Amino acid sequence: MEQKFHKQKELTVIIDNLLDSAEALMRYAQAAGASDASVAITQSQEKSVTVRDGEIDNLTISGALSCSLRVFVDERGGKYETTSLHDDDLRLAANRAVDSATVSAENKHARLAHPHEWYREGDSEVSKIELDQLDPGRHPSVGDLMDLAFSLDEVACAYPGVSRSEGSTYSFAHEICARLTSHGFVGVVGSTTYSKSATVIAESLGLMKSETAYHMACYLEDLRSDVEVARRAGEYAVGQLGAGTIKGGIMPVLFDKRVSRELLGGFFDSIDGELVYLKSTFLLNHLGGRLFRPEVRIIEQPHLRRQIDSRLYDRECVKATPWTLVDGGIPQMWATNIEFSSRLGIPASSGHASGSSNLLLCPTPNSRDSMIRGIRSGFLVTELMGGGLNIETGAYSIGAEGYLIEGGEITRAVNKVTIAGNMLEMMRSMHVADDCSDCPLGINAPSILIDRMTVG
Amino acid sequence: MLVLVGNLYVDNPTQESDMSIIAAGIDPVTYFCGLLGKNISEVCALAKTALDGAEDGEIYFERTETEILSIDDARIESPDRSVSQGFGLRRVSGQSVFYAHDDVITADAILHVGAELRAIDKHSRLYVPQAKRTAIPSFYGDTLATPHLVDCVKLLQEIDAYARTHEVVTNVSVTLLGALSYILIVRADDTHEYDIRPMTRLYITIQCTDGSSRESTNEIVSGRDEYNRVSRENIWKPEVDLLLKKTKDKLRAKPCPSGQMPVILAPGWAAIFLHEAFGHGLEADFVWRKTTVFADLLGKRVASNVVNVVDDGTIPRARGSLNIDDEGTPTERTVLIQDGILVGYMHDRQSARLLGAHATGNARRESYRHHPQVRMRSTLLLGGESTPEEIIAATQYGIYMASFEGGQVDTVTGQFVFNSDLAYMVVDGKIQDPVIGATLIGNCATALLHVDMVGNDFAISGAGSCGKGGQTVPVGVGQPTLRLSGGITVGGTEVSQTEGAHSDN
Repeated sequence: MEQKFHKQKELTVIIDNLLDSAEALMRYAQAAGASDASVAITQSQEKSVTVRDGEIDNLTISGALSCSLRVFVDERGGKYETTSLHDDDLRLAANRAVDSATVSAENKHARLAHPHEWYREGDSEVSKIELDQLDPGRHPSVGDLMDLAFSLDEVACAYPGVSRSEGSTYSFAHEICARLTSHGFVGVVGSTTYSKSATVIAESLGLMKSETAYHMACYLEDLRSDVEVARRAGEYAVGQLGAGTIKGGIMPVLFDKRVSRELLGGFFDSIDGELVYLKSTFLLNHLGGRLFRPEVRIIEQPHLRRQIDSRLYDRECVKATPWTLVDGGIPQMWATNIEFSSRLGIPASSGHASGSSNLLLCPTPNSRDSMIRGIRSGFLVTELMGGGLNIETGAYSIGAEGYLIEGGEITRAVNKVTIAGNMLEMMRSMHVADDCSDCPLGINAPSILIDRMTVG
Repeated sequence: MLVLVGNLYVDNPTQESDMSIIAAGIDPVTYFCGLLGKNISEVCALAKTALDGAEDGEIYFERTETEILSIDDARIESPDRSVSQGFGLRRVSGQSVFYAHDDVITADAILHVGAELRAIDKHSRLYVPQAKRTAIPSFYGDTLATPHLVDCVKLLQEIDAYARTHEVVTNVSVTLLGALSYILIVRADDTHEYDIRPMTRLYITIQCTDGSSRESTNEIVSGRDEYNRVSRENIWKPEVDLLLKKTKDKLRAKPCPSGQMPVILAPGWAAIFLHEAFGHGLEADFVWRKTTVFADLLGKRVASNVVNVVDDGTIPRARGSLNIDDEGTPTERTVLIQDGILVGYMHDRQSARLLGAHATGNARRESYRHHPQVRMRSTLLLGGESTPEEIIAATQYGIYMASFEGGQVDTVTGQFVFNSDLAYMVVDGKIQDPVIGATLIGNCATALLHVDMVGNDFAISGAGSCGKGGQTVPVGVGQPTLRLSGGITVGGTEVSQTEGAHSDN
């Protein structure tokens, strides 16, 4: 079965060539003695131009052709990577992968996905889905990207309070991936990614602050405007100029939606099946029990259209499912691949071999504005850096910058702040607000208020 | 498994289907021309079209086959094996460099990116030619048959078993890497160069316990040679013994005292200090960009008169050696510091042009996906007259630094900080207790002025990987035992007991 996609003549030719090579490699692997095999071939191009001060600062033009072969010789696995699809090299890859398998340890938990685990075109729930990640428009040339980057740079420098630009970038990438397994799976996906970013410096009275804002999208027309990107960078840099320091203590901390996704990402990392198996996650004993407040709900939406992070299946060909990971504040499941679902005695892989897909912490009716009004003395985090979550212990300690909240109002900018706490306690007490981030990279959360953290 | 025969890898010759393309006895020129469906003159014409209007540049073709096998916690990990091939097109104009690369090697792909780079280059210049070369000598290892995958597994298990015969050992991790690169460099002046580069590397980490805590130490043996070189027992056994000694010393080491004191550096690997603190500062791209403290010091004294430093690409079988650099310039032994005077920098063609010097064969890139930069090869401080025993005996109170974990240098200000993972106090001319937590702090422009004794026990260590501009290349370092009588500060974690000794950081 095949993923539906926009066809142009050149695209058809590329896809046919990739499938031909993949099929040949599969035959060679089986001839070399593989009992099972899977092949993934990705052909991609990338162009990127960064400009500053009327000159080109950096330029990338690249093409890549990467082929991964995974073989099983009974219960031993081997693998091989190559960038050459010439016939001799495909034969070489097949022989060497099988050779590697013979010296690897037996592993009865690793295997290919069975047909009933795949995304199926005949499956009525998903048969009408089209992920629509490939913009059919003409691919930009490097000259086009250069012109766009110069325009963005002009707009960025024009933002009030911005003294100069540290670089404006426009990029374009295009990728086709063909995946085959010896159980009969055939899948082809294609995507385009456009991105822009602006780094500006705000200066005043000897003080300096720099900030980068960016946006990415599958379709050129879905990219945020230059004005909007420049505003986000400039407004933040100007706002944080001359930031002071905070007097330490234990206080409520509001993670702005700019950064709250990092807490969500930490949660997802901590339910990883491999870590659960190795007993090295602090959430080990929390499946099925109350972890968050009852209004907390965390879901995945892998089938959203025109989104970079969407997918129909993971790299093991297991279908992507719109899971509810947390419901009523209770974690419902671990995130596994084939090997670790088997090791944990779970009947099926959850399809997370490639990570999460459009992960969302759902907004609630709790108003962010009234949260702020209710804080006598607290800290609003707008940037996080250096440090993070210790998944084994749950200890959370990180550098931050943002604003003081005093008497229910956001007052002055502060930086060089460290915040610390224990993620288990943070999860128990977190209040989820009614706004939401819209990061194109597929992990989004509203502002999150934590009642008590150590701030210094 | 890769078998090196006549500078080419042959895979178990009885299995036709397993033969590497390289093994068929094809040289890089024939191989890449075959992929393009053109003869070498046609490929030279292709380069001329692709680089129309450029001042310099080349097409760099590469095919690299790599195999990595490891053992950790007594388990053999599934081998990592790969083939990576592609081309890079570089266009140089004045101070600007434009670069494109692709895994697909076809004439169309080259012409397409050539046109894209041409379209954004504002200038049109005359191409600076390079002379056609006569035969270039080879500094790589000789040709011997190498073992099959099964035999490599046996080697790792043997090393693991030997290390574990010592009760104190809690974990052993060994990685064996073998790589072979096929390179073809085609310029736009009808010249071309090619190279076939082997590399093997054995990386051993031993973890020991003293009953209450654990420490680990690692050693690397590497060279442009086949597997035999790193896999013989008389090579790896002494390395394991040395690792055991160092790790046990680390476990009983005390915190290091601070202060200004004489510092003795061990031969071999401790020369990483030389590489970081001085080598980078002498790379000529930093010189023309004026981002090194050595930019205006040519002809001036930068070290004491017993110091002689070279950067050498011609040492047989060494990890840092090259026959040609990655622009096609033959390498050489470049003298940097002679009797303490700065007499030269390391150059690529661009820095040589901009500074009026000759290209020294120091242009290197991590792979065809990267553009070349000025990089080091084997950076060496040459041996002198004293014996290591004399140097130690002449030191009333100081520190002997056996090796460094790493360090940081700001080439603009010259400030450096190095962390030593194992050092020994020297008291009354004798090596005493091991200490840990020692850091070395000083300035590039002045530190070498204080070298007062240079040993006659020069040793080269072929274990380095150097990072610059996001690219890693293999390098070597070497030096004899040497002493810095002062001008440098040792930072440590011990609360000072000695009168007058204090931390200057």
